[in-house]
Amino acid sequence: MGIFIGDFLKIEPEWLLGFLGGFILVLVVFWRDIFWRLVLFILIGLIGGLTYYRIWDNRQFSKVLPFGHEVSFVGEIIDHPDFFPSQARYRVSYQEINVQIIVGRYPEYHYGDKLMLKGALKKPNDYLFRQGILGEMFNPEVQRIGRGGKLLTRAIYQVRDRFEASLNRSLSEPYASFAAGLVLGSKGNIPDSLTSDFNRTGTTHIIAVSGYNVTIIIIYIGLFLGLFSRKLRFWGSILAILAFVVMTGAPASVIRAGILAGLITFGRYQGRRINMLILILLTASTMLLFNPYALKYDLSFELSFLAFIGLVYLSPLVENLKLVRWLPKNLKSSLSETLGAQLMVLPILIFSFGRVSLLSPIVNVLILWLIPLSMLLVFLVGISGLISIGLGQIAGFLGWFPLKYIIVVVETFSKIPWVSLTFKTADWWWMVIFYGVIGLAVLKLKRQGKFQTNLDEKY
Amino acid sequence: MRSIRQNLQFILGAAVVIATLIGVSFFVRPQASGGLKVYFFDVGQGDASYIKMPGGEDVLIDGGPDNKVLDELGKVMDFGDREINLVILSHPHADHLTGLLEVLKRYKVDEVWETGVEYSSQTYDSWQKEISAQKIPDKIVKAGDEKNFGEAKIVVLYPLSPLENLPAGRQVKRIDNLNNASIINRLDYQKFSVLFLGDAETEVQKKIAPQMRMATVLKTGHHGSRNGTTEEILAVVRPALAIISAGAKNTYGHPHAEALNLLKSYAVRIFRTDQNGTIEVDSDGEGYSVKTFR
Repeated sequence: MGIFIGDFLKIEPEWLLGFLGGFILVLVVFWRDIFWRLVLFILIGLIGGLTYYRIWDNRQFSKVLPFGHEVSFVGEIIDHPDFFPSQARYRVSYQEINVQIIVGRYPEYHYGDKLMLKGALKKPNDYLFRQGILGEMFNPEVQRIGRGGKLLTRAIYQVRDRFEASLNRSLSEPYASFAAGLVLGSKGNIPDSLTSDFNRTGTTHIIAVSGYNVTIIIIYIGLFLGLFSRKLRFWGSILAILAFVVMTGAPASVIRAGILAGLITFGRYQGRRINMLILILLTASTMLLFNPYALKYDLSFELSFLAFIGLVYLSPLVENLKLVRWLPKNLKSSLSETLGAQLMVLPILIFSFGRVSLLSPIVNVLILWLIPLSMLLVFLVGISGLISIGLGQIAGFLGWFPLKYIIVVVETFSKIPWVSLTFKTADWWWMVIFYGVIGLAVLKLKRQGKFQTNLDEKY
Repeated sequence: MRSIRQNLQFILGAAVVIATLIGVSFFVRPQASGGLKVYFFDVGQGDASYIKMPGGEDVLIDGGPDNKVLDELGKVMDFGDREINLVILSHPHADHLTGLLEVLKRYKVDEVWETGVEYSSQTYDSWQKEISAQKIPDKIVKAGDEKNFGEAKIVVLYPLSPLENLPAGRQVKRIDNLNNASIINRLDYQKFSVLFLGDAETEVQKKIAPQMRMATVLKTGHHGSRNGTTEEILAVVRPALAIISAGAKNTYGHPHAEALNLLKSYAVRIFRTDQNGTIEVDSDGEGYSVKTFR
């Protein structure tokens, strides 16, 4: 059964390659023959995916809005707003249609607020459209007329806002916004110069909340709840994962990590072994059910999965390289993890951003070991700041040190002129070769038995 | 499982760290640095100036058009200093006000000065809500009001009379040009002084020029626009330095060539936030020195 599901799902992402219309083969006829059963499952997976995509596509395109006209409607804010230095971005929903509005920073509105909006509706760009945003409004007239939203979600967002406000009161800039990026992934307030330093040194992933953060949170929760009972530890971890996914506004990377971490926690609770490949594919497919556009258009979806695959399959190989093997254990693992993940996402990064960060592995080795501690301290700062402002400021001293260190390292390396190279390319054929070579290398080394992982530690 | 000994070591270690931190936090409180420091922040097209008094108190005049002021404050305020003694809002235009909102939320602000002029904007509404929510003393100031910080003091020179609750007829007139309802104030520290003109334009500058005194530094009016620098003021104030706070490549064409030429004709050294970045002027009460951050 496992193989069946695995094969069935593996083929699913390929629905993009097919341009044929949907027709369905009859499986029952060949049910007896194991070979044909496999082939047919693959085919049905392929065509099922393709059909689903087509239907979705048609449905999205059929929702035609009166672009370019003045409209007036009541929309409800459906997720955590993004606040930028002088603007705020809200996503509101009106009869299942999501519209993005960009208005001045103040007054602030919150999740669940019902807003009376009046202004010109614009067509969204392709990127937004693929995320399910069907319209856009700039500086409409806004009037808050009521409150809705799910009670639980509102409560979780309130916790998040309080926590962020507490960080802001306890730390000065840019440490406060960096801290918020580290644990919540909110990047809106990080100064532009620092953001570009992170980009140049290939360390943006630490402020884009990711699977790594989820892992660390689960380890902390596990350590804490492990003091009590196995059952409590399991349910506690699941709850923490859920709360974290909601709190961070559910970006693809966190959902991915959340689902995987949840499944692994479940597996461990049940005492089962894990087949990583199936797990990854299962997660990807489930997420694609909700938005099939993600596969081709959502960069964060692609990067998240590729990086994770790199972590699982390439890092152990890198770790066993002669060049790397003599390093101390901690250094070795953070270097190999960085390289493994980076190798997988490299083509996509070049293709989309035209930038390669040459010293990224070194910078990452210099800062990654501090991330778990920094996150712990940031949590400490946030929570003690909630109890009392003075306490938060005292904890702020403690939290300041690792944050300062990371920022200094990143800024210093970013000053090296050749740290980041720029490429411009529109070709994609070399990506196929690149991944082909990696795939072959993994297969070959796997046969030679050089391949062992301790997956339990990585989500 | 850890042994009891290891546990004890851990707890002891943690206790030492925490005790040290609490100790440090008491000693790193703002303390006298012996001199006055005035920073004119590069906040783009807007105004934000920060004064570090010789006694360690902090004063912020305006907050710029966005949150950039927070980064600037983070760079120059003392480590661990989370308190601002006085915030002055010269007038409620967005390029002076917006950044202050987040300042109110993040720092403990002891007192706010403003003119009380009527102005309807959502940002200003939010600002007033925040002030009343936090119960920050909000003083409507007029010429003659002052506050001492040890040997240094801040004096308000304009508006001449309180602008709060003006009769309906005059109110409308005021709002016609909110810039002319700006707070103008001077910072004095022994022989050194800075004159902050806010966004006050020609009309007001001519009106108040006779009552002015000489000042070392002139923070020019209205981002260096043509109507923000007048001969009348320059002739009386005779500044050695002029500071222009304007955004790089701003769409208003600030600072204006006429204003620059006028300043040059009075042999004033000009510093501009759009070219020099954040500008720091230090003084010991006698002389002064200038640092730029770009």
